[in-house]
Amino acid sequence: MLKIKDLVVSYGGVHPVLHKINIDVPKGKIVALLGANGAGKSTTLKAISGLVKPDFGTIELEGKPLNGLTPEKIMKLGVSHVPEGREVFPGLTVEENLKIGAYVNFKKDVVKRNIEQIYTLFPRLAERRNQMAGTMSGGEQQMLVIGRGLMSNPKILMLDEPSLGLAPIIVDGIFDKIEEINKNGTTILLIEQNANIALSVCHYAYVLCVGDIVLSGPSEEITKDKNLMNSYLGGAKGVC
Amino acid sequence: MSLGTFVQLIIQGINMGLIYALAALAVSLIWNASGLFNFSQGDLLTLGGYFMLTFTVVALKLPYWVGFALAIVVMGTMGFFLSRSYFYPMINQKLNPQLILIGTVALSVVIRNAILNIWGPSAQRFDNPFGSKPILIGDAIIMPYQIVNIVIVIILVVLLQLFLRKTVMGIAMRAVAQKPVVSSLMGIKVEQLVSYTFLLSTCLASIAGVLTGPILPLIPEMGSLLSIKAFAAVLIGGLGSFSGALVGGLIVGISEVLFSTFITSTYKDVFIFLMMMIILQIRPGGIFRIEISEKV
Repeated sequence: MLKIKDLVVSYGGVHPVLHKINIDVPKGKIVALLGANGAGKSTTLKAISGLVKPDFGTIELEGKPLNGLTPEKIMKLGVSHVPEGREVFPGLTVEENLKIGAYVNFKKDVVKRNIEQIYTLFPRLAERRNQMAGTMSGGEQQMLVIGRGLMSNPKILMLDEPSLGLAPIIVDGIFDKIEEINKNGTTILLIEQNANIALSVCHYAYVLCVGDIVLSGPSEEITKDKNLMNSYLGGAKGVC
Repeated sequence: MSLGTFVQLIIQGINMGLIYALAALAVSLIWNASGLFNFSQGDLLTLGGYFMLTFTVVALKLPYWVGFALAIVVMGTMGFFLSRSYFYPMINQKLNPQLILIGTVALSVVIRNAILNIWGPSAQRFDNPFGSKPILIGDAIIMPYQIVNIVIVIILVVLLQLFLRKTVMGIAMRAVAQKPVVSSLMGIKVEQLVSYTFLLSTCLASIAGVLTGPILPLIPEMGSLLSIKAFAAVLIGGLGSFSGALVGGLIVGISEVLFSTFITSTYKDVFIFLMMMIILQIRPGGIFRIEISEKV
């Protein structure tokens, strides 16, 4: 569904952050992109959603190139990017945050139906529908940004570090929901530093190491591979 | 002093205060959307008044309401193109905000001198259709336009609130004000929304300009007089706050009238700015300081 080929991204055209990486996200699957801090994971997502311009390479969604399009157009084509750090709109209510998620294609009845679906998925959000998003706990904000990302009925949902800074028990809950969203038919590209939890839900995984894909394959294989620990933890053995 | 006279003074203060409040509201809207403090807001207000003068007195001789509507449309369109052609290029180049600030001061000077050249330096006025027959409530003498102005502003504030809370466009405007980059991930065209905010603020300026008509005669430098009071209102109420702009405007308007009546009109401006300084000392964010706890 989403094909990334030979992607090179550099900031300021000088220092490449990604060196010709290839990623393939099949329809209906969860694909995890793992890696340490600074590996280039978020940059990959930003390149897909149009926030940074690639220097080289192609990004295709169902055969249609996304390179050079504005974030709005890419969103309209069905790519939903949930940025890291639980970027809720703090001064909007939960429900207003959800509504904004459907901005590109705002049809009242569809929006109403989607909001109800998201409330079924995350009952906690239903309880807080009129509360300002900025006053909620971290876990609730994470639920909200995932819900907001689903409001546009995306073909692919990209989640950037949904576990970041959350208590383990809350992380487990969030990842259960991510699996549920995927079972309902949404393709997911997941970025994580927490490899264990990501591998427990994903079908395929890619390991990114300072701008290069060093490992890729079905999640069971990656789980077994000992090299993962070396490369992933930032190179105690000098893999990275 | 009788109660009636006091009521009359309060109504007078509210009327002046609402003008400041509208200008303050426009300043806050733009501040929220683009982080820009618009020093030309007072002159845009004056320009709105002069458009009204042209449409109803000097040239077209249109009826009051038609002229009013036309002034709003013309000023709104101007605000939209001004943001596109003047402000947005500066914001886009990530120019230092202080420089853009000077840009708004420059715009203020340009507008003021354009008015001076086109309409001349002498004071002018346009009539309002509400009559000059005072309404007596007890022994309070109230002019019809005072009631009309208050009603117009109340309707306007309610409509504005409904727009900002209930429509997608309004919610998107607030979203852009809070987090522009995340907004663009939601598919919002940030540039376009900022332009609409400018449009809204120049519409507010024109409405304030027309409502000022019966209160103050039109002179080209009226803007500087009104805008410093409006800025005081913004800071007293809380920069970026909707309720703050309203309350700040009313506080400035009413206390100005009461101070000049009971103490001295010579130092009324001194009093306003003294009040502003004290509030900034005690509560630097203004009365309605925007408090949104953001989880890290």
